[in-house]
Amino acid sequence: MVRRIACLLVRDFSLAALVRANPDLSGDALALSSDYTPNAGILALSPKARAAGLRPAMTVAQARAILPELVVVRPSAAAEDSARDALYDVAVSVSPLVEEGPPGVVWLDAGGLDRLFGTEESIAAELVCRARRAGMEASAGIASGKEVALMAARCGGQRSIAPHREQEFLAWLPLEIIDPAVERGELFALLARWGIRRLGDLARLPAEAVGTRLGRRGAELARLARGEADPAPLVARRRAEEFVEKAELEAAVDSLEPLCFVLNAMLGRLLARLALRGLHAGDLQVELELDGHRRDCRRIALAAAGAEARPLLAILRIALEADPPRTSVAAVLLSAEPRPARLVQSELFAPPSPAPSRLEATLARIAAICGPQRMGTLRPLDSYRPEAVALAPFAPPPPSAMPAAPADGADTALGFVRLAVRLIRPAEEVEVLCTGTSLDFVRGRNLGARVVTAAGPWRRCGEWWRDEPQDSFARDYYDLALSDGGVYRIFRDLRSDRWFLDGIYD
Amino acid sequence: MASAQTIAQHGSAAPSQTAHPADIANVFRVRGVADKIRRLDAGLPALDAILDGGIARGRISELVGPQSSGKSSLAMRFAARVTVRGELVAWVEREGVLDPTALAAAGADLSRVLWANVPHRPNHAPGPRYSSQIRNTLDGFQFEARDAGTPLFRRPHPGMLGLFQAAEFILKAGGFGLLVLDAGCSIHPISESVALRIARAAEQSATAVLILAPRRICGTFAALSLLFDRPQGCFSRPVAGAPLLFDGFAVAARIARNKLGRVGSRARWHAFLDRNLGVWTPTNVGKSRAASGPPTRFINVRRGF
Repeated sequence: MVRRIACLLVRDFSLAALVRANPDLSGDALALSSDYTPNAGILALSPKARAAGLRPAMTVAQARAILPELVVVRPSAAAEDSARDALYDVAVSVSPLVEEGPPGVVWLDAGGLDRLFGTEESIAAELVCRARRAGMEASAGIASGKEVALMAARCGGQRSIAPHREQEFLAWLPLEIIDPAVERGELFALLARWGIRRLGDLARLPAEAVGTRLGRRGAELARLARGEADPAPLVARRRAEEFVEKAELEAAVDSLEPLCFVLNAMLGRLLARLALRGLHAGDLQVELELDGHRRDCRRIALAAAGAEARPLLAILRIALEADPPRTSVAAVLLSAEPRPARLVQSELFAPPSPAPSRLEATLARIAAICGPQRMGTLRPLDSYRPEAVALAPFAPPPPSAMPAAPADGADTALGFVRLAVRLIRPAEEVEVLCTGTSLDFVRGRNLGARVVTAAGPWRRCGEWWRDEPQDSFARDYYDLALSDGGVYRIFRDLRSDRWFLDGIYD
Repeated sequence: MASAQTIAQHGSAAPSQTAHPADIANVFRVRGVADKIRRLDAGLPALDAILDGGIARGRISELVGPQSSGKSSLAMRFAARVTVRGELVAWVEREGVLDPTALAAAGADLSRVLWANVPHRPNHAPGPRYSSQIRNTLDGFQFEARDAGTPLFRRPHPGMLGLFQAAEFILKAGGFGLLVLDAGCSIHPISESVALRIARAAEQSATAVLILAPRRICGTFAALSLLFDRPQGCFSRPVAGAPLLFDGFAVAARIARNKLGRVGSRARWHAFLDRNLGVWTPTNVGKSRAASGPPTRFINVRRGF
């Protein structure tokens, strides 16, 4: 079976990573330079800058003389790291066997992918499309070997080289397609002196003579030009599933609004990467690099995994507003815990339920309003304390076509309803005026009424077996009908001899 | 193959059958069945009778009454009836007063209940804009007079904004059978625009919206307003000389507004604490619980109200 390898290439990777981090730059003529000084050399150029006649190795001053509106940018290690991770995610979303090459290059095993995507041209088109979703303009090539696939990708667009037709494809390609660095090397100059400018010219030379004259590198070039199968296997290394986006800020940010602007863009890129893998964002972690070499790390728990940037940004904003950074922020690292998207198979005769993705987005939006600690599923704890309640994430079971039988059938027959208590959390301290053992008046924050009828007391005590004495409780509970019309549940804490309003019957 | 033959036989036989008048009646009865499916019943015969089967899905229903009137107990009953059908319930409130123990005791499946407690003032909610309120008043903006004489503007209270935002998110997600909005002690009516949005979202999602409030706050957008009277508390002594025990309420409610049926009908039922459900029967409600013991005094706390 002929192996098929796809190559995904992002040209001028450092520049592409910067454009990915700052999409506003995508339409500008860009030049990458290590410095902003006029004598600094240009390392890479965007297509618009190349079209204006600029070439790498020019100085910034020379380039600006030709193209005054040129935007000079500096390489960013943080942006390149994030872009490299994103490129890997794009490849892994298509094939499980991925090898990372030099910056901007990944190879993946394309064998068997036709069952998923159709023809090889469709696979290449899908790769390019997914790379664009991840914020990068890429090209893809598919061939029988890594090198030929890379050369096909360097031709731009999407290209598939059929098996045993490599030489035919390579024959008219210029020599520098093998390696752009050759253009500036001695070997290229020598070949140019010989009049060899295309790979087909090189392939026609005798293999042994080329090895003798040009050495090992020359023999390798000749082998590539002949389109012989690349013996190097695909070395796939599985990476840890970490979804991290980094951003280095040009100028330190000292207010929340611009920081949220940066976070919004980072969230968008992070969610796009997660979406490529069919995942949603779980708990978020934000690391802020502050001025003075200090770090501010915070973890934000989410009630539900989200796939939309807006509600997640609202949660981040709330967290930052509650505890703002001490000084200005110089760099931001945002990571999300990947969570699988909740899949539910609906039944035809089951009652309707919200689509999982919509439910998660809704939960995230509600969490943005009230906070993740104020929403979910309430569960009474196995405790003697009446107020013992746990909060769990809302994860309803799938709807069933066979609903459970009503548990309150007896109540229905008798026309009864179980009386509910509106709990007051935490219990509110009140003042109770007593005459002897009878309760006369209750006074509290929003309460002040005469006692009409008092029932009780009944005693609740427990958890005396715990190590800490303050964990135990001992209370006398009363039900009081007050003159304001309400029936209240209050208790006297026997340990502190104070009264608390615990709930209102309703 | 056999099934295909069966289908073919049925298909050929169906047109030749003569429609019986009873079958035609059943066809028309389907509409009535669909109407019943679009209602959520409480399982209380007296109440369901006056509500024509229950509260309507896709509409706003208000349970209006003072505290300790039994409206929360009834809302929990509705929530329980919805969850046993396998549907989801959202309970959104402002004061964090929902007791999960009571909800579970009412028969609700807690795993199908989404609880959200919206704080009084969400972080991004706009604060009170007094200057604009005054300007609106001068422009002839509607307002009501409270008992204390303080003007009450017909615009959403800042704390209520988050409550209704959360409600709208839930309704737009769809798939919930019931949404309970507990407005707590707030007597601020919500603005027409907010009520309209909630009503439209409820209609689109076919979710029954139940609003608990001490006063009517939805105005014309509520399809049903059930007004709860001051309750009659039931206190009793198990035996003579024993401490008094609180048993529950005798609840009474009447329909103050109903776009889909009758207005003015009344219903009575009882709300009892869980521990007393096995003690009370319809025959001894209002009497002493110590039927076998010496006669004891039954206290009706209505005198104090």
